[in-house]
This record gives sequence, structure tokens and C-alpha cells, in this order.
Amino acid sequence: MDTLRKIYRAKSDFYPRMVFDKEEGVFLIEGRSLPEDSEAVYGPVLEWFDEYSMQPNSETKMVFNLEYYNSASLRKFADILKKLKQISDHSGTNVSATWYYEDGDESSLENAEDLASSIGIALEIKMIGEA
Amino acid sequence: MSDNTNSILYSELWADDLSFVYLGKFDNSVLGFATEILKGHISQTVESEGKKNKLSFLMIESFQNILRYGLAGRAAEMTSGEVFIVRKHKGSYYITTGNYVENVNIAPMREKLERVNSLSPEDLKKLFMMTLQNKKISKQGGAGLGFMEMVRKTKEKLDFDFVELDDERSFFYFQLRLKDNPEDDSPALPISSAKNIKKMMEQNGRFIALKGDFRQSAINPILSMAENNISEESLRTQRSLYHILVEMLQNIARHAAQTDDGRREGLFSMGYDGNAFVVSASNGIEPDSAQRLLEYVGKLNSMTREQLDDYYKRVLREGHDDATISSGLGLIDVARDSIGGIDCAVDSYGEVRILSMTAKL
Repeated sequence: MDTLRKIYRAKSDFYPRMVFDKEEGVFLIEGRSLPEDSEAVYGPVLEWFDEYSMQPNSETKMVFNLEYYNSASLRKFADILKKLKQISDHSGTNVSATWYYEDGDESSLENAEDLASSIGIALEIKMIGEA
Repeated sequence: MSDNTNSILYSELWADDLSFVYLGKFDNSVLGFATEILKGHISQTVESEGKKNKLSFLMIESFQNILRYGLAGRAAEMTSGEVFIVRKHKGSYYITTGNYVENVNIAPMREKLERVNSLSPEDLKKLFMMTLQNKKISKQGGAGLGFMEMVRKTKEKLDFDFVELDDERSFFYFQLRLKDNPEDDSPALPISSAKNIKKMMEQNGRFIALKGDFRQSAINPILSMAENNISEESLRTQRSLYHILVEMLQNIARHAAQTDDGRREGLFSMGYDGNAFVVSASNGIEPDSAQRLLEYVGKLNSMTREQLDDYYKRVLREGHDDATISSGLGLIDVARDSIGGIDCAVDSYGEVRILSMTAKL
């Protein structure tokens, strides 16, 4: 199997920084995610996970560290977590995800809790700056 | 040549701590500017991070709703007159959008809105979770997740109205309220207020209005937004207009009576009246200063172009003969560029005097 390509996307006013790199073991979305067309941004990521899931690393640690995001992005985060859950269920590898939120940002905290319980995945929820 | 747009707007926005009105074409760049302008203003208030994030979220969702539910194709002539308003009024933030929709889409939209409004917080949460799990995505890409999040974040029902325009189109008003204090049971600002504002802006050809604190930090994003709106004009017009804008905005910062908490409050509006670009700036002012400025602007208006040029050079060389009018160069400059001089008026609101100046280019 060919090496899985890497996704590196720089952050901008409306788009998050994204890193999906199997070799380095980095799976990251951070910054602002406000795309009007969330499929254009996250479609490729979901496809990437389809390929990745054929031969996942023994450990997959996904990180969400978002300042702002719109509801269309939230839905895509749910889809990514669903992929992670599938990988965990089918491959038996170690899969985990961490969601960072800012102190005082209750909406983000609440969204993380909702995601965890609706997808049924162990999502570690951490306040930024907390040990 | 009297232009009373700002006076009319002031009477509607009088009790607001912050008002931002945008009327015109919508795209993501406008959202970028709007967020920057509002951030400049909101950062000077004492809102918590959580609240600022909530506000940003609500603004973005409302704005993207216009793009999502608006008319297909969105040709420029079909979208002029769409409106985006953010106000801080008596302890609540209000975000209001107004956009065209096709009549065939009204029934499903109304159904979604009424459904979200009718649910208890518990049922809303259930529906929200179900929507997150559901793989099917509605045609508009939102499936109401946006509306649900708006209700969950504001803990208020969604306010909306459809105004039928003809057989095919209607105008859709949509309003959110975010209270400082959840216990506040005062009645909400009615959507009719947004309708009034839209009407005033349209009748007077304005596309931006901003009321709030005009310290320097708040001015820069307004300039960027204005720049975007005049980018199709000749470079010469752009430069002159930009120049007038800077002077008028800084004039508010300079002359506005300072409030107890250090704010420099004013109202700024800009537009195109069919013949010329129009820029108006208003601010609270001490009665004595108001009188002096009125006289001073009268003096500038009575001068010929040559006299203004000479006067400009003299002030540049020797400073101003009236130190209370600061450097004074700004207004001379505006008077030189403005068609028919500077329109200047003072309105009284009880003890308060509001000075409004309008320049045309």
C-alpha cells in the first residue's frame, strides 16, 4: 500500500489549521472553523480517514482545539468522531480524542459533552491551561 | 442640501449602547469586516469570553443563514437591500437579519422555526443529539442544527417574520436576543424596529451605520469595510473618499463628549445617494462647543475653494486661531472636498446635544 498522503492546511480567518499525518501520528484541527461550505473543508478529511482506517496506527490521538466554529462544522466534527469510533471498533487499535475549550466557554464544553454522548466515544474534555 | 439621515437614525438607535447596520450585498468578506468592527467595540465592554464567543457564534450563524436560505444564484440586483443588524439595547444583544427568500421555501422554513420554538429544552437537546448522529444532510446543509444551536445558546425563542413582496419572493426577517441577565423579563425589541432602520437606510441610500464608541481602535475596521465597498470606484475617488472618512471618524473621536466610563460615543453612516457618496458623523457635544462648531463650519462653507486653500495653508503654518477646534485641518480638508460644503446640524434630546455633519463627494 502506498504511503497515505498528508493533509496540512494553514489557518486563516475562516478556516482552521489542520494536520492529518499518519507517519508523524498527528491528527489535529485548531483555530476557527467558519466555512459556509463545510463539505469542501471536511469532505477530504473524512475521505482521508476512510483510507487511514484500512491500516491505522496502533495509536490514534485526535485533537480538537477550536476557538470558534459554526454549526455546519460541528456536524462535521461529529462525522470525524464517528469515523474514529469505527476505527476503534473494527481494528482494535488505541483510539482517543481530546477536545480543548477556553475557560468560561460553556457552549464549547456543552457541545463536547453532547458529541461524546451522541457518538458514544470517549472524548477527553480539557480546559486550556489545565494540567 | 440638508441631509437628516443621521438625525432620523439617531432617534431610532437613541437608547443603544452599540448599533451596527449593514445593508447591501452579502458575502463572507462582509462577515469578516462585521466581526472585526464588532470585536473592536465589544472588546471595550466588560463581556466575558464565553459571552463574546456566543455572540460571535450567533452572528456567524445568522449571517450564514442569509447565504444558506437566500435566493439561488444570488444575483446582485436581487440581494441589494438585504440587511444585517447587531445592537446592544437595554441589557440585551440583538442580532437581526433580513433577506429575500423564494415563496416556495417559506412553508418548510416556517415549519423548522416553529418546531424548534415549540420544543422544551430537554426535547430540543434530544433532537439536537439525534441530528448530530444522523448521517442524512438536508438540501440546505443545515437541517436546522443552526436554529437549534441558536435557541440553546440564547435560551430564547427565535423571532421571525415573512413579508410577501410578489408571487415569487418574500422578505424574511429573523431576530435573536441574548440577554445579559437571564432573569430580565422586559419585552424584546420588536422586529418592526429593524424594518424601520432598513427603510431609513434605503431611503437615504446608506449602506453602513455604526453607533458606539469611536476611540481610534474602533475606527480601523470601519475603514477596511468602507474600502471594500468603494473598491470599484476610480482611484482618485477612492483616495478622496477614504480621506473624508478618516477625518469624519476621527472628528467624532475628537469632539464627542466623553461619557462617565470614558466612551466617545457617536454615530457614523455612509452610502451613495444616487449622485454622490455621502458620509455622516454625529456625536454628543457640549452646548457651547456645538455653537462654536456650527459657526466654524458656517465660516468654512462661505469660503471659496481658493480661500479654503489659503486658509488651510495658514492654519498649517501658524496653527489655529481658535485652540478649542484642535488642529482644525480635518474639517477644512473635508470642506474642500465636499460638494456644496459640509452640512451641519444640532439636535436636542433633553439636555443632550447631538451634532451631525454630512459630507458628499
